[in-house]
Amino acid sequence: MKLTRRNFIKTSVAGLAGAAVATGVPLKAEAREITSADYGVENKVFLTCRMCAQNCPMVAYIRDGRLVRLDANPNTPYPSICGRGRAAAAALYDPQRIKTPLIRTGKRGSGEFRSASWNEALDLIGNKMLQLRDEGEPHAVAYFPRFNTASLLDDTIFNLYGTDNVFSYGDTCFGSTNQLGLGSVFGGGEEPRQGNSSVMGDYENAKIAVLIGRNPVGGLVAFPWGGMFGRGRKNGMKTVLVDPKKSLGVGETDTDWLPVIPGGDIPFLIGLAGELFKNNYYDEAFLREYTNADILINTETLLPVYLDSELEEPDYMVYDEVAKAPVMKSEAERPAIFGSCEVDGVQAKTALQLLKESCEKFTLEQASEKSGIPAEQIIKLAKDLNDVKPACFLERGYRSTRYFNSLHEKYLISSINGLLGVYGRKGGLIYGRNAYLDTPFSYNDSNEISVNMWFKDNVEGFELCDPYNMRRTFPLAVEREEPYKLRMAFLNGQNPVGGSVGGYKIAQALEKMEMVAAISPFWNESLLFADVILPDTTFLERAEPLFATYKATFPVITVHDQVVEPMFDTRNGYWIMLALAKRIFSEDEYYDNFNDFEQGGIKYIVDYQIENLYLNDEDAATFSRRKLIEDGVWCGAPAPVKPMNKPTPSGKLEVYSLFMANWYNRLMEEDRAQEAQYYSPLYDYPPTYYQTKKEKLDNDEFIPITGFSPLSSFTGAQTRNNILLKNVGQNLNYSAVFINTKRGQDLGLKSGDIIEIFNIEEPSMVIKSEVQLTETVEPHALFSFYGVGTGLYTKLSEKLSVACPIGFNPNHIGNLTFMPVEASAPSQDFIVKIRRAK
Amino acid sequence: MSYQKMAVCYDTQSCIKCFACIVSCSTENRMRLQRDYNYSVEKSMVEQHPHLNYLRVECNEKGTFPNVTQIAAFKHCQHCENPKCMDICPTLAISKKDTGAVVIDADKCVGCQSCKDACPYDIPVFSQATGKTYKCTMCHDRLTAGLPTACSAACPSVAIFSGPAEEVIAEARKRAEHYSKVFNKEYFVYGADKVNNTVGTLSYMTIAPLENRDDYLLPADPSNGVAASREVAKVIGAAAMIGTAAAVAGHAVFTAAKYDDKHHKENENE
Repeated sequence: MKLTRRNFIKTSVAGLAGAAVATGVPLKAEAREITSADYGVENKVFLTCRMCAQNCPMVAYIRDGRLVRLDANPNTPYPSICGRGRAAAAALYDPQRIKTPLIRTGKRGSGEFRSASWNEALDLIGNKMLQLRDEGEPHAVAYFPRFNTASLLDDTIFNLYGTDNVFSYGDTCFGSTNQLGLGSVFGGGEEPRQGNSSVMGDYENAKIAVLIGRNPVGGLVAFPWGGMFGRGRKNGMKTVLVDPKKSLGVGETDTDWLPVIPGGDIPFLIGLAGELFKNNYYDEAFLREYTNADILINTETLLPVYLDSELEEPDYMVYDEVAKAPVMKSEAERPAIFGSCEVDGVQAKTALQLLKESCEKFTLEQASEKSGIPAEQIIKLAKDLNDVKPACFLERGYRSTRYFNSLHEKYLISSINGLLGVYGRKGGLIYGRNAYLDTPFSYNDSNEISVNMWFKDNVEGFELCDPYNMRRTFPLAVEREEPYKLRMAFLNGQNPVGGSVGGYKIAQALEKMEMVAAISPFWNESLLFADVILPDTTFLERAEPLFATYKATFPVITVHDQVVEPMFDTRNGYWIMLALAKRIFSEDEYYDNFNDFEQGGIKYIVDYQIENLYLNDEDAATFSRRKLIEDGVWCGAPAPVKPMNKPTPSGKLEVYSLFMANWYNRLMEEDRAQEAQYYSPLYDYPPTYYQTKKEKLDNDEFIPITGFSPLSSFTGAQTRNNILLKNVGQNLNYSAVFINTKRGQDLGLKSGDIIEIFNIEEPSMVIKSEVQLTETVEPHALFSFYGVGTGLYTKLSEKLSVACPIGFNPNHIGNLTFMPVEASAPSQDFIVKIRRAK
Repeated sequence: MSYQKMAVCYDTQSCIKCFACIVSCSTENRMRLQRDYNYSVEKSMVEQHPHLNYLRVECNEKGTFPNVTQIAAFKHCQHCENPKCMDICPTLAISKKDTGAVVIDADKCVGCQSCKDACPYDIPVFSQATGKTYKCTMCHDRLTAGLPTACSAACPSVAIFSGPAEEVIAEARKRAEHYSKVFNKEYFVYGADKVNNTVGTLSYMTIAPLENRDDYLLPADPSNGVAASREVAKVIGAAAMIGTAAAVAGHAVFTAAKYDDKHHKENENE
């Protein structure tokens, strides 16, 4: 065949000369002959990638029932699958998967198991659950879902069985800190929670992206973030990285790295905001139009002087520059954004005045000293942001619960973005949209109160927790036997020991269970404590319902079909759940709740989801089931790029958060000043936990920070025991810990040495790791890639021979501390000591 | 059969270092084992085969905290206009295709590693397991079928792109010019113009800041002893040339025999 220019463009690089060079363009075979390069293309299956939790739209090619190739689904504006997704075949065909049901033979933690039949294993679990139900204690079952393979069905089975104890993993990632951090400015009810897709950086049009608390590339969400970020870089977006570790993917050149001291983000932010105020770099028009900058605040209580939230459009007292008097906003001609006055004997200042003054308490030199970032870099950044605003933003973080002051940090980020006026503006932060999918399954609401809900209602320090995204209450509840005794744990794809800080306490709690049942395709450290393990399929070996929870600016719905038959003696989660349901429910219960699904399969759920799909007119015009099936994905219209008023108490974007002010006030009234400081509505610097333990680190002490690598994902062996990823990862030495060269040399260490690492509060637990000295780490920090090292549970390396045999996992030995009041997991707020291994 | 001249370009600026390209390259090669050698996918995907990563990453770090540059450079065959590996190969296993791709024919390769010696970029990788030498083929099979290379097809961030050479070069130059303007320093397209007399132009190009060319392994004057001696040999004349070729061929026979032997032993162990 002569490869002519015409048909090449048709088939391959459409639009190369245009603005967007197409790479990974859809494979359209009609314009040319089929050659050997098309091997396997005749059978394609659409699915979503589950090598991490983001469900990026994917397409698989198969031949003779075997996987040939995986690619990004081309039918989206940002076809993206990262290296992990492309390495899924090594997970699917991993000879060290769990191949048959297993029953423990050694003691818990020993990793000794024997093979069993499905019936034996299922009966063991089913009988225990029946016994607990008969004893009137179904709520004694603690359910830990994660990469579960029976989404929607598993929830309903445990709920109908009688337990609402779902211990979910979001307390490190998106749980309270991130939600409340944005919600405090955006609003959203009494406990204002805003998800990760509420606003997103408009990378493609941004001139400067300040990445603080998050590296969108390391913790890669390929679709659509990776695609948007790369296009942004191509368009000339400059990135400023505020992070104790300089990372690769945010840009190797033309990127400013501001190496912040671990937990010192807040002084940096206050310094930055101070510069914005001092030089009038804030967006005055935006502040006047869309924010509560003008609300008059009682300087004593930090609450509004007068606010009526009940009105359709809330009204509050402001100072009118024309009338020269405090009046209600609805009557004011020109409310002042700066200034102070007296109202009925009460000293009042505008919100913006208070924020400005709170920054002034902190000199730039102090900000620089406490953050570790030179003053001139803060000055320069403020000026640069002013030059390009609103085409800039501060990323607000992801996996954001790191230190005790992380919530306050997220609040400051959200508020400073308001000062810069970037919300709803091109190149700034734009609003996300989601489609919502319903479930055909029913639930009952008469179960015993869940442990998490009980903690929220009854335990001081848990009032603002997110009971649906929390798992570290489990060891507390087990220890205290409150509100009741937990007797059985059921791990469905979740690895709580490896995945949440204080993991060793979770392992101890698992040891106290009468039974630990688990479903998983791969070994992980939590499974070492299981009594019965059921081998799950990977995502390539099962069909799933439609999925729509994407972090995108437009609604996305994806299909997930089965690619290959289950390997070994594995079963998909739906099969497992139904087999369990048959054992724990009466025939009538089973028939009423699950017969339709058993008969109809995944199609039954999908039919229901589509019948009950609500779309607005614009989206409905482009959606059809046929198209969804043909393309494997549907993408709706993006949210309009314009600022919006928000459901906050003041009805405005609250650069001065009244949610924070209310909680600050309440906690002060309850004599809880320690916790109150973390809820100050001002730009304050409450300390990290480790700072309260020790003012200065010794020369062998570090803060154990982590970051994601695009070659690993959480704590799952789908990436950990993956040769395709390890081939690349070992070139990055990704299982080592990284410390600052000078600090390492002062300790007599060199790269390649093996060191021992322990938490100074728990010195008996020691983890070994290789150390690498580098200039790319802030001197206080000890960096490791998340989910790579084996950590404390080296037994695991007997099960996973590709995975790195040693390596640090800070979760294993971290403290079981909780964020003040919102109670999520401060993942790296402790001090470790290192020494050369003997 | 003649094909149009093609090219690939890697843009260091829009790369997010997700390594999708490297994994895609590796899995495409494993798929080729499945396709061309009837090698089961269950095996090919979980065996090491490090030589099948035609695209590799090499990290380097310069400067001191906090003024440090950290670069993960991509290492791959540049597909030279004048492939030194081809010139030196005693069994004529290496050829330069119309598309610009420089390809080792595995059937003809005897594993003498002369190409490894000759390559000014230190690219070919010898596999103990197979006794042959490997390197990027610029996805010759895919390009001639009208498909993008595996690396460019995998890139989620428009950082690797492939296509007809003149279009790739035009896009690359446009990007370099844009970056030069935005970041106020010179960006260049390595390989779009003649690099030096040894290698000529390149079919696998790289966009990078000029000041970081060494960090990205983009030498201004790529050469090495063997390649240079070949240049000299050409100048000195035919007699010397024959001498060199004979020596190399002798070396090839020797190493081929050695590796065959070794390969046998490995098989016996299985």
